[in-house]
Amino acid sequence: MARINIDSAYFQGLVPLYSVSPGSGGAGWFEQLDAVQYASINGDLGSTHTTTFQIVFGAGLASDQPLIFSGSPFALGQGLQNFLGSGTRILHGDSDYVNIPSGGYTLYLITNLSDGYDASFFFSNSSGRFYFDPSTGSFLNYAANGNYLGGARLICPMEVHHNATLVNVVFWLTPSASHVAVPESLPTFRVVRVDNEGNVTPLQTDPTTAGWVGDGWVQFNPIPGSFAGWTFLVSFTYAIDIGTIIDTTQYSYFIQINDETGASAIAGNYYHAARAQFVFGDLQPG
Amino acid sequence: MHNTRVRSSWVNGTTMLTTEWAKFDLNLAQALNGVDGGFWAPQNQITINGSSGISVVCPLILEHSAQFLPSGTSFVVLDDNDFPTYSPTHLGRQRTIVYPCMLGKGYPRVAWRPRFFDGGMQAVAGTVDISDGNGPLPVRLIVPLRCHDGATLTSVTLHFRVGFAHKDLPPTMPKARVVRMSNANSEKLAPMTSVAAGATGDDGFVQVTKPATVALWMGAQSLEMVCDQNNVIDLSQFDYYVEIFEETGLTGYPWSLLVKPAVGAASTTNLTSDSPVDGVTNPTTYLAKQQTNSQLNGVYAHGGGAAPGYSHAEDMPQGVVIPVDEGDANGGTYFQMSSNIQQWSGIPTTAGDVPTWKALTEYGFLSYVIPTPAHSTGFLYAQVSSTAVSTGSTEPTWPTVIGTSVTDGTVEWACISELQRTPTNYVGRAQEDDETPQNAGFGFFAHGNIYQSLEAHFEGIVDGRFQ
Repeated sequence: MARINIDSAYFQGLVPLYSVSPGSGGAGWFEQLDAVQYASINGDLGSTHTTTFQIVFGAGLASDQPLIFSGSPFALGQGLQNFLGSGTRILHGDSDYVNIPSGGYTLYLITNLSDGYDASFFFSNSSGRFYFDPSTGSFLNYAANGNYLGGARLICPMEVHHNATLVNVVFWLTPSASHVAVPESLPTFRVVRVDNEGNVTPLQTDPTTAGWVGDGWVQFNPIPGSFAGWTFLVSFTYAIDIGTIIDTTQYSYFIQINDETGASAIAGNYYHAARAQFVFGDLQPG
Repeated sequence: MHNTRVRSSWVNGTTMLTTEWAKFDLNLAQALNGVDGGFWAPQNQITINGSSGISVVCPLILEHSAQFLPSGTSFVVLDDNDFPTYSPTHLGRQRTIVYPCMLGKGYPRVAWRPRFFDGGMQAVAGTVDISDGNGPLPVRLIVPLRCHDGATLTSVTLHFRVGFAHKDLPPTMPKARVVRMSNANSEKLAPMTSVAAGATGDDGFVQVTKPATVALWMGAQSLEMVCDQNNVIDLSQFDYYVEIFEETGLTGYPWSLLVKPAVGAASTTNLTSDSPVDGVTNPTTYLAKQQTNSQLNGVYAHGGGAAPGYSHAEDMPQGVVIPVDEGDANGGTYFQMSSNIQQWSGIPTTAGDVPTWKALTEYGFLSYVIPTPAHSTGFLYAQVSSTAVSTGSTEPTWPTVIGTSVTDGTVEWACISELQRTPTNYVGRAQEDDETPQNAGFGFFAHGNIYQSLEAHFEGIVDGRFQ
C-alpha cells in the first residue's frame, strides 16, 4: 500500500547496544525500525502503487469489519463494479443519492404539444383555434378561422424531472407556407409552474430577454427578414431563469403559446414539440 | 489505516532469540494486514493504479464527509437486478408527486375547459337531464397517475377551487376515487380506498364533506383519498387513475338550472298574434323565441300579456330552461335561454327528434316517444305492439325499468333505454374573463369547479431505480 520501504536489515545473532543507539544495530535503531514500519504499514506518505495481483479484502481490513473512508474521498478512476450478485447493493445513507457534482448531467425531455389543449377564446378577442392534426401529430391552428386579432392559445403540461435544473425549452413550429408577409405579432411563449392552488409563476423573469413581452412572455425572435423565412420549420429557444430547480412535490409545469396575431397573421401554423433541457445534479428518481 | 504497532520491546543488550524473531514476524504480519483495524489519517493520498484493482467482498462504507468519486468512463456498474438501496430512514423512501389535472381527459369532453391562465381543468357544463327530475348527471374527469413502481401509494389529495360563489350548497358534493386498472382486463377496476378508510361504498369513492355554510364553499378546497387496498404499485400489470365527479344538483349554484313551468307551445316564426303557435290554438302560455325584434322574445300568456311567473327580468335568467308541452315542431322539447338577450336554443336528445307522447294518437311498430315534461322519467320508450291502433286519452304511468312495458290504449310502450341529453347546447364558450377563479363565469355556465392538481404520496420506496 505504501511506498515507504523499511530501511533495515536483519543479522543473525545481532545484539542491540545502547552505545551505538540510535545508529545501526542499536536499540534506538530498532525503535526507529518499528516506527518506520508502522508508518509504512499505514501509508503515511501516501503513494501510487501498482499491484502485481489484485488485493482482496475478504472481510474488511480485519475482524469482518467494513472498509471505511471517513471524511475523505474514495476516488475511482475506472469506476465501481458491483458483481456480487442479486441482493447486494449500493446502500445510501439518509438523504444521500448518487451525485454528479461537476457540471451535472444534461438530459432532454420532449413534450409533444399535441398532448396539450386548445384554450382559445371563442368570442370577441379571438377566433383562432388549435386542433390535433393526425397526419403530423401536431397542433394545427385551424385553417377555417379568419380572425386572428387575438391569436389562438395552447396550453400543455410539460414533461419534467424532479430536482433537475431546467435550463431552457426549445419550441419547434412550422409556420404556414401560405404567408405573404411577416405577421404583425409573431407567436409568444411562456413556461410556468403552478402550485396546488393555481398560483402561477413564470420561469423567465428577466425583462432584458430578447423578445420580452412581459410576465414571462417572450416573443419569437429574431423576426424573419422576409415572409419567406416564416414559411418553414423554425425553432425558438425560451431561456429559463438560472437556477430554476424542478420541484414536483409542489408544482405542475406548463407550456403556454399564443399564436401569431395582427395584420398578415393567417391560419395554418403547426406546433410540434417542446424540448426541455435539464441538468441533473444527482440520480434520485425523477 | 490501522493502529497496530509491532508491539516488540527492544531491550538494550538483549540477544534476539528465534522465538522473538518469530513473534516479531507474526506481529509485523498482523500489522501489515490490519488485524486490529483502527482509524488512520494518511498524510498523503494513497493511489492504487494498474489493472488489477481492489476487490472488496465486504461492505465498503463511506461516512461523514467522505465522497465516492468515480471519474472514469465505466462509472458504476451494477449487477443484474441490483439497484442503489436506501437506508431504512432515507428520505427517498417516501416521495410526493404533484400531477396537473390537465393530464386527464374530461367526459363529456365538451363539458370541461382547460384553463389557459393556470392550467386547471374547469367544469363548464353538466350533462343536464331534466327529464328524470334528478338534476344534472355529473361530468367526470379521469386523470392518470404516474406512479413509482414498487412503492406503496398511501394517499392522493385532490386540489381544486370553487371559483364562483354559490347561492346554496350543491346537493351532491364532488367525489373522487383512486383506481387501478388491469392491463389484461381493462374492465377490471379495483378501487384503492376501502369503506374503513373513508370511501362511501365498495366502489371506493370519497366524497367532499359538505361545509357548514355556503360561504365556505368558495376558493381553495381539497379532498384526501386514503389508499389502503390494492395500493402496492405494480406497473407491470396495472394502470392507475383518479376519477373525479363534479358537484351536481338542481339547487346548488352554478348548476341550479332554473326550470320553469312548461309552456303550451313555442313559436317557430315571428308571431304577429298569439294564435296559433306552432300549430297550437290559443295556448295558455307560449314561448315567443323568434321575434324579428328579439327584445319581444319571451313567455306570454294567451292574449299577449306576460305569463304568470315571467313578468320580471329575474324570472328569466340566462340559462333558464322551459319545457314545451305541445306543438307540431317543438312539442315535447325544451328550450334554454342561451344569452341574456332572449336568444333561445333547443336541447337535443341523443335519440334524435323523438316526439313527445300524445293522447289518442296512432303509433306504428317501433315508434319512439318520450313522456310529456310533466311525466318525465328519463327513459325512452318504443311501441312494441304489432296490432296497435292508438294511445289512450290519458298518459300512462311510465315504467322506469328497462325491458318492462305498459299498455296505453291499444298500444304497448316498452322502456328501452335511458334518455341521454347531450350537453352541447349548454356549454358556454369561454371568454377572457373566466380565467381567474373569482371571476370565472362570463362564459355561459362556465361556473364549475376548477380541478388543479393531484398530490400523490408514496411510501415504501426501497431503492433508487429509474422511474
